[in-house]
This record gives sequence, C-alpha cells and structure tokens, in this order.
Amino acid sequence: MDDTTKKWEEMTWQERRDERFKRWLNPPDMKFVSPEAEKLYKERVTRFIKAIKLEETDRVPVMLPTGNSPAYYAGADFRTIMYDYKVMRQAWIKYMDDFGDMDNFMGPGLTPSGKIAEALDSRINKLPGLGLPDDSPMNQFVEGEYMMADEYDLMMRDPTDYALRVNLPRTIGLFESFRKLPPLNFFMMGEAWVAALSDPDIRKTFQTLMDLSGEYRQWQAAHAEVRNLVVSRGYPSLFGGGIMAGAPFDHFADVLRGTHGIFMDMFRQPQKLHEAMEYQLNLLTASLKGFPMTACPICVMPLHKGDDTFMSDAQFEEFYWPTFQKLLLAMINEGLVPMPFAEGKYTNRLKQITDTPRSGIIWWFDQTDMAEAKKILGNVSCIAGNVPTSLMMTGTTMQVKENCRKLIETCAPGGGYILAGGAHIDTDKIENLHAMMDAAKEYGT
Amino acid sequence: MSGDFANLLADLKEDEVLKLTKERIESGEDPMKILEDSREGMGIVGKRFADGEYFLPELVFSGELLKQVTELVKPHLTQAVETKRLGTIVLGTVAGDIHDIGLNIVDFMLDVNGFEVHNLGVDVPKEKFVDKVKETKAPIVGLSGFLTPAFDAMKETVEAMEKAGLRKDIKIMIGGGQMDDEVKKYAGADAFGKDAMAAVALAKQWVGAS
Repeated sequence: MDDTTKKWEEMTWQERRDERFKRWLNPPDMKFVSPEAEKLYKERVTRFIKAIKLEETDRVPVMLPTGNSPAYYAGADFRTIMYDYKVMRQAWIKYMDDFGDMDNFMGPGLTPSGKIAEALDSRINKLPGLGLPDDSPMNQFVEGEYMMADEYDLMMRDPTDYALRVNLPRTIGLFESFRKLPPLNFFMMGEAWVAALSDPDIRKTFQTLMDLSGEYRQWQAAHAEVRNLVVSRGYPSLFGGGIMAGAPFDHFADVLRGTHGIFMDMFRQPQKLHEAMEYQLNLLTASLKGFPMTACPICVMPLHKGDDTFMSDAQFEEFYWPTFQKLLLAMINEGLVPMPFAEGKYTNRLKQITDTPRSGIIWWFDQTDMAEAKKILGNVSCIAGNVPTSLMMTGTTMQVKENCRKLIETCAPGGGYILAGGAHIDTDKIENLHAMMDAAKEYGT
Repeated sequence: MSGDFANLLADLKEDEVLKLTKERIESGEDPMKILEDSREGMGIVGKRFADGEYFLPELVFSGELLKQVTELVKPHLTQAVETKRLGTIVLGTVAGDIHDIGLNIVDFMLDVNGFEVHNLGVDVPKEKFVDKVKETKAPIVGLSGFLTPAFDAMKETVEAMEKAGLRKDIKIMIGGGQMDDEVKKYAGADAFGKDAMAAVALAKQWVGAS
C-alpha cells in the first residue's frame, strides 16, 4: 500500500508528522506575493524541518524573538494595537518590508482585543491600561490560589461545572454571576436555562458576551489577515499549532493552586496532586484525538515551575516529569511537534528529559547551559536558544553577534539546532534582531 | 529537647512540630525559647537550601510551619519580641512589574537570616523607594523584577536614589526572572543575585556580617 493512502490510524508517528509537515510546506489556498516568496517560504520551512529531524541544514535556522517589537518599531505600542487593528496591521507590514530576510515571523497572535479584555475584567491576566501602566509592553499574570486545597475532588468530579461555576467567577469579573448558576449537569435541560437567565446578573453576563461578538469578528479578521500576509510574503509561522497547555504540574501550580498552594500540596497531599495531574493528562490526551491539520505542527509549551531553581531533581522526577512526558509522547504520536519553552534554567533537568523519541521534540531553552544541552540532548532532540534577553535589550550589535557566534559553534555541529532568543523582546531593538540573522548567515553555514 | 524541635522543623515534620509546640506551651515553658528553637530550625533550612539539598518547596513549607508555630506561641508571650537585627533592607518589585513570588521568598530568607526587611510590595514607584530609604536609613536596597520592562524601571530607581543624594550611602542588589549581570550594569546597581541565598550572602557581606 502506498503511504499516501494509508489511514491515519495505521501510520507511524513519523508518517503522521510528515503529513503535517507537508501541510506546513504547502499551505492550502495560499497566494504567495511572488514565486520568489514561495521559494523562500519552502526553503525556510525545510530548514526548520531538517533541524527538527536532527539533520544538517544549509544554514542554522533562526527563530527571531520579535514579540511585540513591530508595534514599537512603527512608533506604536502594545496598548495601541490591542485597540487599533489597522495600526497593528500596518506595523506588521512595515516591519516585514523593512526587515528583509527572516526565517520566520511571528504574527500578533498574542495581542488580545482591548475592548474584549476590558469587558472580561480578568483578575489573573493584567494588560496595559487594565491593571498595568498604559505603556507596559506586555501582559502579566497575577498568581493566586484560585482553586482551594480541598477542591481537587470537586474539580475532578466535573471539571466543566467546576470551571464555569467556581473558577471563572473567581478569575474573571464578567463571570461573577456564574456563581448563581445551578449545577450544570444532566438536569440542566429546557426550562432550567430560562430560569437561570431570569436572574438579571446572569442575563447581563450573556448579553455582554453577545454584544462583544462583533468586536471579536473584527479582531479575528484583522489577525487572520496579518497571518496570511506574513505567509504570503514567504515567512513561515512557527506557532501555528496553537499554544497548547503546558505540563500538568504547571496547570495546577500556575493558574489553580499558585506557587504557595502547590508547595503545600506536595507535602500535605501529594497523592491527591498526582491523581489530579493524571486526570488532567487524560483530559489533554483525549483532546488530541483527531487534532486538526494546523498551519504548522509545532506546539509551543511554556514551562514554569520545574526549572533548576524551583525544585530538586527528585521533585522533578516525582511531580513534574511523569505526566509531562506522557503528554509529550501523546502529542508526538499524533504527529505534532511539541516545543517546550523551558523558562528559567534547565541545566540540571537535561539528564532527566532524554527519554523521548529521537527527533520528536524541540527544546527551547531560556537560561540553560547550551553546551551541556548539546552534549546531553544533542542526539535526542532539536535544541533552540538562547541569546540572553538582557543582551538583546541592552547590548550592542557586536555583542549580540558574538554571543550568536559562540552559540552556533557550540550547538550547530551535526545539525539539530535553532538559533533563538531566551525570551521575546518587546521594544524597538531591530538592530539586534538583524545582528542575530547576520550571525546565522556568517557563522551558521 | 530544643535540638529535637529545631531538627523536626528543619525536617518539615508538620504534625510533630505542632504537637510538640502545644505540649511545650502547656508545660509552661518560656514561649521565647520555642521561638528561638524555631529560628534555629529555620537556620538549618536555610543552610540546606544553600547546600542545594532543599529547594523552594521546602523553603516555602518551612515558612508555613514557622507561621503556625508563631501563631500558637503568640498569645502566651508576655514581653514584646525583640531580636537583634543585622541590618535594614528596603525591598520591592519595581514600577510596572507586578510579580511577587521571588520577592516574597527573598523577603522571607532575609528575615529568617536576621535582617529587618521593609517589603514595599509590587509595582513600586521610584519615589516610594527613595522615601523608604530616607525614613529607615536602610543601607541596602533590593530591587526585584521578572520581565524586561523592569530593566528600565530599575535604572530609573537607581537614578532616583542618585538624585536624592542617597546613592553613595546605599548598596543596591537586583534579582528576578530575566535579570543578570548585564542588567546590573545597565541599571547601575551594585550586584545581581541569582536566588534568595545570594541575596542573603550579599546583604551579610555589605553589613560586614559574613
């Protein structure tokens, strides 16, 4: 039987991934601005695919940490592009026009709609003008205990009901009224909905949601247009798989129990925490079945509380890695390419994360020792990183180039390396981003 | 027995520590002694943290134990607790940044290591740092920040100290997520500390207590 006629269920994970790579290489219905743009697009995607497969590339691929810098380059700021989609569009186009050759270009996908954010009134995600100074170049999360120590069972009994009636009212102001909803179970049929909506507060929440749909359509259309423009000019998106949930441990540590709460649970109710993480893992893996063909199979997974400074090797081994590893394997099995973004330092962790299929993962490192990463992971996973953000923001082009040269010399031999920033930069430092591209061309061939 | 208490606390035996605390109070022991033992236990925790045996979960959990012990002991104290302090430190997350996990851990470690800490919280305007330093005459300032906007906020805070004529009398340390020696130079601070123990070591060195 020919590979192309093989059923999805019969394919190996590599074959599934190749199908997704094909889709990435040949975006359907895409009208490139020129044959040259299409040729460059394919060259760039191929460069990344080869790096993922741990093969030698014509030159080291670069994942530029552009972040929100197009907005600042165009003289606007994060807050402006949250509200003015035209300014956002122009800023991204200007950046592409002026920058020239890039291996990828991030769209403005992480910029929320200002009007919608205002109405939602999130208590956990603060934005410029909405809990942060107007000129703040990024959002910030407010950690807290949004799930209580004794609520694990409640959550596992019915996660949807828990999310809607307990968690949402705690975390997002607009959903305050959902506290008053009746249990969302099998009996919530017909009239019960009418009864629920007879409450003026609940009705107001739904009315606000409906009123926002027009704004959402505009925001969505503007973003889709920029995404398409980026690709049509030959720049691949690396984040088209959609940001997936991260490690199950972080799921509880970041947005539910908070750092303090999760540390208490590790000592006072470790079994309950394990049970809940397994439960969360099962929810996630179930949602992977039939995962759609996305623009790009790479799934960025920001990781937080398993790094060298947060926990010990033994704690990582017990609490963090087992469920996270299973999640990675399930994603790989669907042909997806997980790209864990290991914020902070992962040098101690390296020896603990080698047990995954060869070439299945891209590990994106922030402050990890890259020589160690190459030595320990080099034959297992593609590695990306890690020009320090501080250097990108405050250093000279010469310093950036020199840093890139050392990284390339350390990590590139034999393939499987993507030159990347430790984190995104969000101000106008286009010259240092140019320096990164220049370094890859000069030293990475 | 006091050694046992300190060790139980250091070993994070919550039930035993609380049980023993209650027993000691009931037996009429001087509550100050229980607090002294707790401090000794926290000293062991700090050492294990510095040695890489303990990490943040242990550190935070030990703090929780200390809090519970203190709450049990408090009603029985007849005199105000006065401990000799190594020095005073003004601490805070700089303007525009609202992160506090690292800030509070540094606060906690400085406190259990004998410093008087004035924690100004998050998103602290530079003027507030200046005012607090004037008020407390603290010789040390700790600036915390997680994200890149903190680079400039730190720089501006250091400049404000300079303008207020305080810079020559104080030492400034920075720490947090994306901070490093590059940022230290950029901001004009005196030192960058990679974690809470580094903050303690720097502070001790600066007050001549190391």
